[in-house]
Amino acid sequence: MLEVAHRIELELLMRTFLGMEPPDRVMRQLASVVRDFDAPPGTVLYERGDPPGELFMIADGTVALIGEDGSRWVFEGQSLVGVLDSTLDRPMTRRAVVETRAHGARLMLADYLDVLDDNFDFAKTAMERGCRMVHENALALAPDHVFPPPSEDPILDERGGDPRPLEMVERLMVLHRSSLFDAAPLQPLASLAALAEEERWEAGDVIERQGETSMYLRCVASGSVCAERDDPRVVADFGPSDVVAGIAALGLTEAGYTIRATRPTRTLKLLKEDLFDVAEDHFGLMGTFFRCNGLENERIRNLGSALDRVD
Amino acid sequence: MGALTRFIDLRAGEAALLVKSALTLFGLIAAHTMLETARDALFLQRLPADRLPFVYVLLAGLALIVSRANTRFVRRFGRRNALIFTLFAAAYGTTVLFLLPRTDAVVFGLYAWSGLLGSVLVVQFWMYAGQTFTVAQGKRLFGPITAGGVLGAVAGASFSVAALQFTDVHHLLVVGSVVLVATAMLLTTAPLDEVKEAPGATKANESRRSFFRLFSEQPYLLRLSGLIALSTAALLITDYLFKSVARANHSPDELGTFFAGYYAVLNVAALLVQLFVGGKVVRRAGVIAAFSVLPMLLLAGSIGTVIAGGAMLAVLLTKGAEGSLKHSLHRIASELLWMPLPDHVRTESKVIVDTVFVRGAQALTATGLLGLAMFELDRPQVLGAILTAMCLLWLAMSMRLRHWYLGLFRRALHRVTPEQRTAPIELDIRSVEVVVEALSSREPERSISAIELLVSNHRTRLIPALILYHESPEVLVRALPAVSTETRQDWIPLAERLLEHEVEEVRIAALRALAGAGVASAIERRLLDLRPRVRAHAAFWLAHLDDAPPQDEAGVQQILAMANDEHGRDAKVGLLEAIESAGDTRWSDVLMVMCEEETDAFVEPLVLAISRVQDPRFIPRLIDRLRYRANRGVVREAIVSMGDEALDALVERLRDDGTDIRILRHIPRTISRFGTQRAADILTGLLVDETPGRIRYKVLRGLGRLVSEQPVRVDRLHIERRIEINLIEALRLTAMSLPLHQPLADQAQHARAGREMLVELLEDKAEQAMERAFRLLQIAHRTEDIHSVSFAVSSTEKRVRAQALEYLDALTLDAAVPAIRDLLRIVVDDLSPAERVLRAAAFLPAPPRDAEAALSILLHENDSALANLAGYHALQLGLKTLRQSVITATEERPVLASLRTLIDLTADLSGAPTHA
Repeated sequence: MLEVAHRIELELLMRTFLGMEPPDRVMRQLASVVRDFDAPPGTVLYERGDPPGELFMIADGTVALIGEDGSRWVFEGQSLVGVLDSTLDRPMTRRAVVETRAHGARLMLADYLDVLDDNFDFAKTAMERGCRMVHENALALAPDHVFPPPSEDPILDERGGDPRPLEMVERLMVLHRSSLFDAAPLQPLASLAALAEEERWEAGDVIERQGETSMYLRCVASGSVCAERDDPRVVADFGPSDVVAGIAALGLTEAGYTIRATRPTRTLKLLKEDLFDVAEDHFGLMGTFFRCNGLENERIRNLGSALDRVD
Repeated sequence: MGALTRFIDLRAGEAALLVKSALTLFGLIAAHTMLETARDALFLQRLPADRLPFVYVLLAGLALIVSRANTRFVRRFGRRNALIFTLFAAAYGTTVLFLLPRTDAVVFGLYAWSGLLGSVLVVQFWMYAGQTFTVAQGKRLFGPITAGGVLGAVAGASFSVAALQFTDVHHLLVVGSVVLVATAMLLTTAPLDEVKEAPGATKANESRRSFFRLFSEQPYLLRLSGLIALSTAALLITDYLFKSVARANHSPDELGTFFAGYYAVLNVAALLVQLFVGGKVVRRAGVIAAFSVLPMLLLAGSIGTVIAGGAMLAVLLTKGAEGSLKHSLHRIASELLWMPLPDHVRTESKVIVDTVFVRGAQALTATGLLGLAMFELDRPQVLGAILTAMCLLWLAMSMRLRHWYLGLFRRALHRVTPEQRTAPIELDIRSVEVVVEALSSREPERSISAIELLVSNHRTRLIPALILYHESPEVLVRALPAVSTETRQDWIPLAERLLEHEVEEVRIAALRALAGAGVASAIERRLLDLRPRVRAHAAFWLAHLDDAPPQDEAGVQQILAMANDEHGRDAKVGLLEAIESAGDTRWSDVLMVMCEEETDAFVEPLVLAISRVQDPRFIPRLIDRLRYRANRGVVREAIVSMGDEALDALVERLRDDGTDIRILRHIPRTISRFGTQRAADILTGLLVDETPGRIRYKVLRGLGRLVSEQPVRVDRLHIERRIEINLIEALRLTAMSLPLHQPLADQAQHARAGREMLVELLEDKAEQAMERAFRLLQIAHRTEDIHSVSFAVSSTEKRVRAQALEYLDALTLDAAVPAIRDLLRIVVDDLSPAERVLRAAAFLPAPPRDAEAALSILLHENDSALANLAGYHALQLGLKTLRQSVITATEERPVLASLRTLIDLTADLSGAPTHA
């Protein structure tokens, strides 16, 4: 049993770290599974190749993640380190070294996910916040590459411009092929496929305007759409099986982009409320979102590092 | 391998290890039996029998020294190597003793040497077996391994008898040494065990760790040791009883023949029990029950002995029980009882218990028997009565041991119990210092965290009023409601300053705090605020502190009459926020008016305000609101606060077929928040097949949360039936997926993708059924940590999985639905999916013989996604028979209607007729 003062210190640390007024139940659960750490400069939190699973909440100080190629990602206070490899369940790909004395809490990913599963609203808030942060990073670091290149492989057999509506199995296949859902368990995807509504657009149709309340997530079934915004200027295309605006769409409460169809297009529309209702019963789906956001984070950071080297 | 698996539940990769282990025990016991024969004969040839007690004392002392050395040795080199070393050392020492002249001292030493070897070798062997095999393997394989030992005893004794016809007894020492060397050589081919440091066992603390401390830290070890000592004493009394009655009933000339014949029968009985009964009893009845079989039989025998006045038959039966079970079932159960102990505890304590405790118990019992004999009380009836008492105590201690046995598994599997996770923290002086330091932090996040922590621990008095000088508006907004409690006045002057703060939120928070404390001047000052939202708060307080109905107040009427432009919306939001923070039922009519506006402009604050006033008239509106995630928690709290009337309304909505699914699926969890026995009964009643699957899962989660938080009762039989249904469902789905793992024909890429999706969906659904079963198990055993067990079941470590299996096996021993114990064993044990399905045959419908049959069955699944995917894949394959099955299924089942288009589209692929 932790000493009370010690546990209080940890709880304070995490309340400060999480910064989104987590419910008391969550705080108590988290406080019971974390340990604090206070590391002087030079301390190695983990090595490349170490088994995944442990997360480090950096309250203050600086930690550098050094890749095999020498690239450095530097994290300061209020950062979560180790989460990327852990959510992808792969050996640590970077070496974590404390640069200026760091203080924080460490916990196992399995315990963290356990707490999230038990407190879905908190999990949802954490996920949305994570998606927003990664997207903001993308806008700041690599505005020309905020989204990966569009998919161009057709999924559906649309012989003769098939006008029939998509069958349930086809909707499932479209979702299953998208990068947001490709690692998701099939059972919740089947539920989502049943809830998804098909929309048809002609070239030039505006699907969503920037600034409108964003209640839906859209997945392109066929055709293509373009997302645009200013400040910073971003233009991105999305093709078959792409989720429009990617994982960022999950974190945005109002549309961050104006979306237009660039040719005859079919999309599957999912009410975010439905999506989270399904995820509440199938926490594996939520795990997929965390994983996907982790991959996106890695892509952006790698792009950032590459751009640094070019500079 | 085939012959072995016919009698033994053997899994892939276990055969070689089993044979080596059984042969090792065979060699070890055979050699020891030969040494024993030689030492008994040589000792009694040269020395009188009254020297034996001295050897016993010497043995106990030596055992203590050797056990400590053994612990260090095992820790450093591993158990296998320790055993190999001991075997070689035993062979060497025995050979030396053979070569020495046979003096009194050498004979004395030989007796002590062989006695010591007998203890140490057997203990080391079982320590090695305990490390090599998991508890689940032990239950299956310790029986056959122990049979090797029994055979070794028979072989050793038979060889000795035969050899003595041709040679002198002391030559048995050489033969024994050779067997020991051969056994050691064999063991070198067995896998090495992992040498693990005890957790936290640094050199510094190792030296401090005392044997007694180990016992005080491990109450289970203390009880197990007591039981072993007690059973040793009871078995010695049984032996004494048997021998004294035999001596009384047979002449000295007949004794040899009698013993030889009787022991031969016992050896055969022991072997049969070992091979055919031991393992099965352990697996069926569990370890503790298996450990209780011997005392139960001894108890029956001893009572019979007392009643029959020491009749030979009763004594023979008593000894028969001991002889046939001691080295078979009892040995297996005893060794398995050591398995849940942590590795380092076993290493440090087993040798001591199995040598010092056992020898000590024998010495004490022998002294007691000597005392009885001196007073001529060693009569069969007296011995029978003593044995009866000891067996009763043995049984009672065994029954109590179950609690500690489960407890050890609980500890091994445990992560953090739900109670620990949600237990509030009791602040002490040091922690208060930490929080107060955090309160004064300039970082708003840290300061706010400290305020929240104190609020959640009901210790707001610790927040100094001076925090209202904090420069951060966020901190001020959070601190004002925290410090403005009824018992405090110190904050008021400081809050008055904040009525003029530049940030609107701070002015509102200050107004709310001051008005709540009855400072009327604050209201007047803010009635003229520039912002409509702040003015609305002031209007609320003005009306709230008045006796007249709020809707009659001019300020309130003015706000209600405002248009829904920017100013009007701000004012209405402000009024609703104020009602949410301090309103009561008097405000219901105002809210009714605002409800009629049917606008999205202030829907969220309206719901929160409705939640606050607790007027039953709003129950239907609140239930409707459950469809939205935002503020669902607040809405639920509001519904719960309205008691039984709200609960009845929820049940009514559940039964109403017209209720929107988006509302329906959140009703179970809302019911669970009531936390009452009635809520638990309603939810338990909903766990039936008639409830749609998606709602049933919500019911399950709601009931799970309710049971974990409140001391409610659940109908265990009903829950266990649901566990059975879910486990069978998991196995059935596994059976359906098996034939689909192999491609049916030369499948094209798209057909392979369809098959893979179908298999994945079946596996997902099987996993879900398992998850539901574990959630139900948690409901049935609310004080257990089943969550950690389900986590352990999917562990990558075999030993952890085995512990989970043994825990579940022991936990479900007294299940009202006995099938769940068998089903859990099948789904949790280390088995391939095909083997699981095979073992579950009695619970499942006949599994599909091939993929085509599987697809035909799946077309009729209740789950429409599964049926549709099966139909889709069937059409992809282009097989005529399957295609016809799909056509028939679409005609019978409306949920498959979407397949009709695909039937038409694929008609040209198969040349088959299209859908009619």
